[in-house]
Amino acid sequence: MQEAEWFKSTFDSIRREIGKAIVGQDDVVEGVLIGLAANGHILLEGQPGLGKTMLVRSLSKALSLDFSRIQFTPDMMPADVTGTNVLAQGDGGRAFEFRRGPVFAHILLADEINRATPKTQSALLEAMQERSVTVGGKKHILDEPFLVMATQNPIEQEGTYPLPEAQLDRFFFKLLVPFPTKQELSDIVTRTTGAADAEPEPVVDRDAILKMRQVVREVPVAEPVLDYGLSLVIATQPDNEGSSSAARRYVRYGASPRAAQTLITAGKVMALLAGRFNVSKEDLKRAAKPALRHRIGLNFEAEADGITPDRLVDEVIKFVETGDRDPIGV
Amino acid sequence: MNSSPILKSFSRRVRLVRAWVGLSIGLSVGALLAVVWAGLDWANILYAEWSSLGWLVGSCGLIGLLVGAFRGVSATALADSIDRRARLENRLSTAAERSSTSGAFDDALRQDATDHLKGLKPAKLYPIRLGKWHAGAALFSILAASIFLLGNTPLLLGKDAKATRAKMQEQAAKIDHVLKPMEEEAKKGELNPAEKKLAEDLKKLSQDLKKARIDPEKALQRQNELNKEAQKLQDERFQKADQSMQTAQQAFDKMQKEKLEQRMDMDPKGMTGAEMEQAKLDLSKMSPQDLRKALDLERKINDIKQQLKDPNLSKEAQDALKHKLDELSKMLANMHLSPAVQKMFDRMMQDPLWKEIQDAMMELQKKKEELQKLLDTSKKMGKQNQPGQPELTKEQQEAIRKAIEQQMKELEQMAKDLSSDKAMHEYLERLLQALKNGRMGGQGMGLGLGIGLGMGLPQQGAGAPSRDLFFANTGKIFKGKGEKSRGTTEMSTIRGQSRDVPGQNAYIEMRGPSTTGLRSSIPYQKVLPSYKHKADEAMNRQEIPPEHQKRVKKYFESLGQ
Repeated sequence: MQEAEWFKSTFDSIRREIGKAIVGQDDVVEGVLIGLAANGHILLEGQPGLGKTMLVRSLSKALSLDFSRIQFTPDMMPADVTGTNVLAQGDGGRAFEFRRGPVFAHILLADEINRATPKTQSALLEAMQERSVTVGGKKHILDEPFLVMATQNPIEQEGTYPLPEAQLDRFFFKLLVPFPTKQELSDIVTRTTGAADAEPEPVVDRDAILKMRQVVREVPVAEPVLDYGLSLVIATQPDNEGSSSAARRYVRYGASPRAAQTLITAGKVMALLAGRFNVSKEDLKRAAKPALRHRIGLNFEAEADGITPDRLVDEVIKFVETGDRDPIGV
Repeated sequence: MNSSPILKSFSRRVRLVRAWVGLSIGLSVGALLAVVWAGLDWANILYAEWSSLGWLVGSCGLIGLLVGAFRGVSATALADSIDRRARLENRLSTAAERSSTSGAFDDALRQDATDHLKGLKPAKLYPIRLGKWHAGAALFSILAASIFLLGNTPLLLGKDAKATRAKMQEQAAKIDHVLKPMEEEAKKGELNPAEKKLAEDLKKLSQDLKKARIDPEKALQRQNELNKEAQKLQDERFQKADQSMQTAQQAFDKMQKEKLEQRMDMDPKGMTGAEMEQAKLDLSKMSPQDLRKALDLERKINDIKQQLKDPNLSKEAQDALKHKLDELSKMLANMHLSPAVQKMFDRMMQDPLWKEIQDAMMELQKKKEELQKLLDTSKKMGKQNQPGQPELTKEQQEAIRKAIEQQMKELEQMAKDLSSDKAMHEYLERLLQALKNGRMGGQGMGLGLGIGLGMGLPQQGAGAPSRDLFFANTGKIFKGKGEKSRGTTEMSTIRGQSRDVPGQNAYIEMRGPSTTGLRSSIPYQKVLPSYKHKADEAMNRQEIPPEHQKRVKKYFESLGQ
């Protein structure tokens, strides 16, 4: 019980610190922090200038963790991400020495990741999943916590390389960064054009983050809730027994098993944030869009009918809700 | 958590609500079935009554109620349901699952669930309310009632039709009166297949009459057919009874002869071996009837001889006995018994055990005669009363019928017992043993030679004593002194032309009352001209098919003769 309270208060303190630099974007901030607590990478998608980079930078400051940033460009090579072996002069003469790349940080901002070539993008694959980097046949373990926060611009398609499905699936959440409201915009302008910007202070260290992840794992999930989460994932499949009619019509490929893991883990974090000790179906519903939207591949018919992944997720939730009836039924 | 008293109160409430819903579902299903049944009843396919429809609906409702009340309520399902209804965000279902685990949050989780549960009222979460099933039950019930009413109500009928219907219902009640004992017997399994079928046919006729869904003339025709069938079945029973009686008689005769021989073998009393062999030979040549008669005469002679030994006997009495003795001796002499047999009889008459056997035989014979009388009476009950036949009250008829039924059963059983030599021997041995033990009195020694009418069917025919199905039960018994019953329903076969298929065909000519039951008090000669006139008019108006006009004319001509 105390751990749950500690979790919530820690989470809130990080959120407060980020709030000093970021105006609004509450859902995005919460999504990022859920990813952090759930040990999942985040893909941020939004127009330029919406504070994506600022958010990640603020987060690293609030957490007092190592932070590095890679601005992806088409000519970037994998070694620019992972690091490389270089010939160095030492006491015993010349020898190859591994120079660690920017991936060796607690928080990695992969800015405009879709501008890099697939070869470079895939350099992140091992790091994101295995938490290790192999260079020159040698495996280098990344320090925990390791959080990749990638951004991409949905407008500019010229000279970009859409992320492959395998890499997209490795992102815990895909968060859409919306344009701020007029009031928020006003606050942003006021705050950034004034005398001095408020800077987030470090409130949580590395160990606290690792402990938060441990606490999240302890939250129990009831069988009906788990079943509900699995039904959501299965309903996104185009040709499964539990497929929704919308998925059958509009989906090219559905969400992977990682999506189910994501839903449940995110649900656990949300339960703790809500002051509960159990995951509810409502938690899963809230987590559905950021967890599923990048894991569903829509077909041409969906594009023609203007169906977005979020709308499809709504349909999937409706479908599952219909079949999820009161077992007593009176 | 699972065994929490709070959850138990929810469980009880769920059972109650389920029973309520189950009742409505059962009633809906029952009412739907009742709609179908009422429809079938209207179409005259399946007979229905108010009570039967009510029973159907009620039974289904009760089944639904019981299923709802006693269906199991799983703790997991209940917790999940409460979570949904009280918006507990799966607290209860998670706590129920982790009721016995010790995770980091389990205690807190259980406490949290209990706290949330405390404020909840079972009746609020599971209210008893009217739903679509209740509406369905009401709707279908109204529909069933409407269909049944429309198919059965006399409100839409005219005055004459109502009167006809009332009469038909009266007749149906009479059939039911006769049918009831038959149905009881059928339940006990005492009717054979043909009798069962007759009972079913009678029931159908009764049902058709109750609903007036049968043409009166057709009903009359059907009733006569059934009466004929009943008569046939009754005759079969009589025949069977006769056969059983024959079997029993043969068994007695055989036993008598055997016992005679056995007794002589055991105690020859002065008879030589040659005499014994001769006696046995002569005995084997005697018919059972002669043997019975001879033994009877011997016995009576012996009795008189014994009486004559009494010194206190008056002179007149002695003379009378001597006279009778002479007569009996002459009768015995006329039977021309061989000397060996005569000697054997003389010897046997001195044997006290043989006397006992003879007494038993006499008793059996007496019983058989009594039952023969019952059989004759029964037969007469089923046929037209003869002149001079004593009039029987209803109670007497019923008593006779019951006595015959009982005796019939016992006779059948006895015939079964005597079905083989071995069985017969065993039976007779038991009988003799019973005689020796002095258990002979009462109950006809358990033999019960009897016959059975067993049918309880009304005997339709002229003068049938107050048992008619379709005619008014006047209680009057025609004694046959030249008085002819009205409403004769004898069937006769007349050759005629079939309407559809050319050639000879048989049809039944009904000679009975023109209405559905009551005998007319007007002599038919008086009404015949007007009916004939009406028939002529109908033929002129082409209301009667041309192929039947000749038959109608012939019918009226026959009445006029």
